[in-house]
Amino acid sequence: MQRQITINATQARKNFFELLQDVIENDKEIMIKKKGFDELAVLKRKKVSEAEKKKQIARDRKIVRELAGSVKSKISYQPDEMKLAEKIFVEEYKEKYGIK
Amino acid sequence: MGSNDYFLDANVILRYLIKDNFPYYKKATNIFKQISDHKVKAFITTLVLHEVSYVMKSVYSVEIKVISRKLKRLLRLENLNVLDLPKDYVIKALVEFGKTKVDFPDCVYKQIVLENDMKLLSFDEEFKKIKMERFEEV
Repeated sequence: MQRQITINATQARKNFFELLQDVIENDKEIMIKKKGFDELAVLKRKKVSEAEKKKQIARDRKIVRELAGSVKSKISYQPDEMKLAEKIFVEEYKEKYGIK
Repeated sequence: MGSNDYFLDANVILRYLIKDNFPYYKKATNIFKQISDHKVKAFITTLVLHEVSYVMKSVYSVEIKVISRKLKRLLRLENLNVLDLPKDYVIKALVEFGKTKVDFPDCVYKQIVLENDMKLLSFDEEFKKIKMERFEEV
């Protein structure tokens, strides 16, 4: 299977999402030519080294530890919170637009 | 999408951040640990973030700047992906939401309009606060 595809900038713009999918899922490399430029732009998967991956995981673990339970509220858990939010939204909307 | 891909509902994020229901908090924290360990990939949309921010603000009276700060930090997780808008744009929307208190969806609309090089049609004057030019007719 062809791993490298060369296309022009217009084709790249039009098919961006399909190309992105190809890069992510099929590890393809997309070389993009743009009129007036000698060099190519390349769309390809970034190979992450094991050391880099470990660093990333350490960073992410820190974020998860930090954020867990970090939002304080005096209001206790409301099992019907979505319904309550909807009700408040309708009230706020009516007030904003002067609807009775 | 693979077998380790999961879509997160707003209540998972709410229970994890607020810790107001211990059994759900434990489950939600475990989910986020799996995400941070890169064992699973999680996906959300800006609609999920809107639900989270709106419930936190209106039901649990959490300050907008706190909501903005926490969600921005959460989005730094490598394996937490936003499906409908590039993360950088969502973070920009959260920054403006935190600073201006303009509704989060309006901050998202601004980013969508800018990203797609469009003009905004709206009757909402709030867009002035986030320096977004709007039109009322085409």
